[in-house]
Amino acid sequence: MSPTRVSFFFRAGDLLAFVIWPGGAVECLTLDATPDGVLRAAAELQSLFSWERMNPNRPERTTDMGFLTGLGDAVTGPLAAALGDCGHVVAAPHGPLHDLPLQLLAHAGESPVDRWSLSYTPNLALYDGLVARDRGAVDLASARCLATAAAEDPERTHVRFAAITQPIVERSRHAAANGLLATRAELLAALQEADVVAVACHGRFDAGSPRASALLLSDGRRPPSRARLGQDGAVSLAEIMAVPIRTRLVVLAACFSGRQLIAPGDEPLGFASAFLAGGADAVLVANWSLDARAAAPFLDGLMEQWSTGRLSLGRATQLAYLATRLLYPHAFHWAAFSLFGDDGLRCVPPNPAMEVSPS
Amino acid sequence: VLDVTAVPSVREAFDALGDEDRRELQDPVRSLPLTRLLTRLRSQGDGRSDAEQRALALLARAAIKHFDRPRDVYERLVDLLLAPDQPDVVPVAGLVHGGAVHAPLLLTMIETLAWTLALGGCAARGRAWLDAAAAVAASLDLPGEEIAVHDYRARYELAHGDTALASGAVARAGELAATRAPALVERIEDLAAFVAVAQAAAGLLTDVPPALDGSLRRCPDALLLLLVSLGEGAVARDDLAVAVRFAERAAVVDAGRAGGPDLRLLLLRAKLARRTGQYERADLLLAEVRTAARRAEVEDDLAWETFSLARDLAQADAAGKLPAHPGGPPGRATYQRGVLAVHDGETELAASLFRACAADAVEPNLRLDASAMLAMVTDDRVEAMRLLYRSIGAYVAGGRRQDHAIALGHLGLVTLIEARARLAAGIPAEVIPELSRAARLYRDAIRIHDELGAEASVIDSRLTLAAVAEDAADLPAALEQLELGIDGIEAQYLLVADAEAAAAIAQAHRAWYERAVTVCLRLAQPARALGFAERAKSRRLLRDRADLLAGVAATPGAAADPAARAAVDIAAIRRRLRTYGRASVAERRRLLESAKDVVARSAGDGGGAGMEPEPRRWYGSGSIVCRRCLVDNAVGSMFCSACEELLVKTATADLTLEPTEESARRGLATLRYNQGQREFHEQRFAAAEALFRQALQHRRHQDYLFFLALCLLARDEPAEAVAALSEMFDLQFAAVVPAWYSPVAPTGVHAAVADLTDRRRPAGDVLVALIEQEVDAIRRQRSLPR
Repeated sequence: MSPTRVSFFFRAGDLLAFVIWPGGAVECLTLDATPDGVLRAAAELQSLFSWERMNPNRPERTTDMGFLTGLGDAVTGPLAAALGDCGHVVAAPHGPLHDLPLQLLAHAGESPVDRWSLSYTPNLALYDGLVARDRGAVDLASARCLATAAAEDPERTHVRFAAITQPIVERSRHAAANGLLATRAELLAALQEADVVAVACHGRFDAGSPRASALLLSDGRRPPSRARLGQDGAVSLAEIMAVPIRTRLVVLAACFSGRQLIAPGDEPLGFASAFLAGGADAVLVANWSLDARAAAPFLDGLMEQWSTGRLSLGRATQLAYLATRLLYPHAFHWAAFSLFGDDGLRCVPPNPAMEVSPS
Repeated sequence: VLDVTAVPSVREAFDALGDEDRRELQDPVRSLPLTRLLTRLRSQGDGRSDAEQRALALLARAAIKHFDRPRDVYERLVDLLLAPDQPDVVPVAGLVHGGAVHAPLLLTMIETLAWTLALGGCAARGRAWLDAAAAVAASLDLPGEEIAVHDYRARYELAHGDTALASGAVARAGELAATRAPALVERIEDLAAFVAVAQAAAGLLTDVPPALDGSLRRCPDALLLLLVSLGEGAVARDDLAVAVRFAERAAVVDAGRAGGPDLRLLLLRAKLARRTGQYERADLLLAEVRTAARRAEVEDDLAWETFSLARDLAQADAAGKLPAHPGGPPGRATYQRGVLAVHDGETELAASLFRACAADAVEPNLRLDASAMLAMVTDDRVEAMRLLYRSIGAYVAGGRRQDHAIALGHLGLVTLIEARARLAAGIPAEVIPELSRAARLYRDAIRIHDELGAEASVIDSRLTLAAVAEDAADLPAALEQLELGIDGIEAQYLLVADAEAAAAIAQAHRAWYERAVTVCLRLAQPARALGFAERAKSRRLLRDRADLLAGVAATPGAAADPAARAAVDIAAIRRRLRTYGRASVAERRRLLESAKDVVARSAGDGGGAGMEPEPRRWYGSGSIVCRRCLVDNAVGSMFCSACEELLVKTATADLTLEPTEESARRGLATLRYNQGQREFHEQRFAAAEALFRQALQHRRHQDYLFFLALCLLARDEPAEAVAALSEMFDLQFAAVVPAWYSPVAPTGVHAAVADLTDRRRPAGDVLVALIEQEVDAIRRQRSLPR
């Protein structure tokens, strides 16, 4: 079943939501949200979810998400009423809404992911381009996984980073490239060869110059450093934009890998749009500082569902949200990832003879 | 021109004096005020050799240049010059009248004084001193000196932008050289070519003067210089097609020369490209100039053109590119700062800058442009209309078509603002004609811009025309203009390789996408609205990865639009540019050529649709459009209030059936006015005056004031006549649509006021002149085709 696409557009005083129903009909909803209001909420969110203010062990003690209630009522409320139980929703945010994951905007106690599978796209033109390619099911067994923490991190962090990609490693015929093996060359090669690439590492987002944002990988001789700039192992966004990508699904379990620069009149610039524009069909990115303990069960849940070949990537992501929320009720944990691109991707089932459900 | 830039310091000039002069002048140089020092230096030159006199003259120039309080001294100097009985100035005045024979020092002194006067804005007084110098040289029978004065005078006039007077001075110098000093003929010919270049650059020449053909053929460099100047002149008067032809001719001459491309020609081509919206081409040409070895020769012009490109692209750092020590005409930097202030919405600052420029700039065109821009930022509507009409008239007279079109657009905007104010005030009935008028002005502006190939101006005019149509509730027309305008924006966006420049274009036009979305929704066309919303969000994708969209009709109006189609073909090179940094000039040029073809193919010509071939006349609708300058005048106006074209005779009729107090007063005023006319033509001026005054008690009207002024002139009361005529001017722009009811054109009335104020002519002569103009105008109006 085709998803319902929603394209948001800010005008001077309100927010429009263009709903494109699966049949192609277009409807426009006017929502009571302003760019300034959303911008303030997004800034507050980034501030609250920073390592300086967040207690990842007990986030509910430090972070009350009540400040998003009004926006949830203004945005999710009317959308829920209009869309009903439509199944899949693909959202193309606009302006500051790119910095505010919709799964946080609850209405009447319900997050959008309680109703729909939710994925994102920089704009609908790109989404339609991705879907139109129709490259078939994804070979999860070809997945390549890289994981490395920083030189300054304790050993347990290295172990936790490796654990994040473990659910994918378990389903792949390739061994994990962890620690010093998680190199820049390994990633660039994997992007040319594997259907799925998963990376667990530290990420750095440069708001002033987003092309300089980087995934911190090893240079083969020593682990990356969070403090050192210009490392040999770092892979910048500019480099990602320059290489043709064959990988279908990219999983970035790296802090801030979902952050983007919103230039006026343009798509946001960040790892998600760079990977999609470079050739990937879908990208799973982290919206803020990632807690490895919650990231591992999220990816575990996701892969458990998706690897069966019965569910679309969007639906599997939705179920992973819900499953993780049972373990970690705070949004800082369960809502940390966002899916960009083709939510309809399916995995080659473990048993090739197994029939794949069309819906 | 007295060149003070190379003048040494006072100390250096002082050291260059002989021992005796140094000893005698040591104290005066330290203690005397400038005027007294200049007089002292003159007397010091008595009986000295030419070399010593030149050294003293150099010291005089240095004293003027380096005096620490030049303004105070200048004021005192002017006071002294205006009062020739002052003892300090008597020796100088005596010299002017031939009282002494120290020609080089005398002439240098006079030139210095002339320039000092000119620096303070008294160009006419400086000119008078130069005339005096020429008279002195002639009376002393010093043809070489006289030629030098004419030479100086020509350069002085060039510096003040008056090429006609410069040309006259050259002619006099040429005549004198031919008969009295053949050795100077060549020098004067050089000067003549120099003046021709200046005339060409000012747009006063339309081709190479035949008289210069021979010498220019012998000297390709001079021909190139003249052709480039002719091109610059054509650009200055917005004759872009002609400028392109001169640039092409210059390019042919340039190709036959050694030593690389001529930088002025490159700058001319860059300016032409910018003016026609080809920003990428302009940037390429400027890059070529920047990398040239001889760029220092055109540093000022390059800085200005770089700034202009940044300004036209609405780049955020445009102000930073404004040359710090600008060359070019004085006031230009002030004007450009005003333009930037307008872009930033700082209207008060802009108004003050434009006022300063309009008052102080030497170049007439710059003053005119400043007046036109002042109209856009002043709060006074009457002043705005007066400034705009005056500017439009001058642009039409000067053949500056693009500025004419821009001013028409500004007039449309002022009219639109007026309409919105009326709507806000709750008088919607008066809004419709205002909106119609604004729309017509924009259509006329678009037609002219389109003819000139000024794509950027066409886009801006289309977008504002859309706003007018939206205000008039003609939403389909608004959407049509918005779509054409947005197509144009995206074509421009795609043609600019530099990401920052492209982002500036996107940012500057962001609001138009919102407006297009809103209009579509008001028309209940959400799918079309979505198309505009997606276009507003998808431009980088179009630039970088259009291949991803090839063949995909993602949303209605998105992938199918011309800009997206164009992007498909050029995206690959774009991506490489983004990824690997700046390409070479040659690569970018190839890119530009391919992109231009694609955009032209995809977007079509985009303009001209729905344009009216001829301006309309609105008989009976309250205004009449001047066929020459395309502005509206009130019905009954005799002359166009902008260009003073004589208008077809029209009349108003009062269709009010019920008499009101207002109509009664107007009727009574008309009765008194008609009675006054009879008395006036019977030459009973006192009686006529009384009747006109009675008419004015009931209604203020330009005609009543005009004939009252005539009566006052007949009775030799010029001061009161001037007051009446001045009030006439005020009434010209008092209504929404300007009118000049009086039977003598504003210029004629202005001249009469000036004559009376300065007492140049007696009141009787002025009266006769005004009546002659009135009779002539009425006779000509009767012969106008309807």
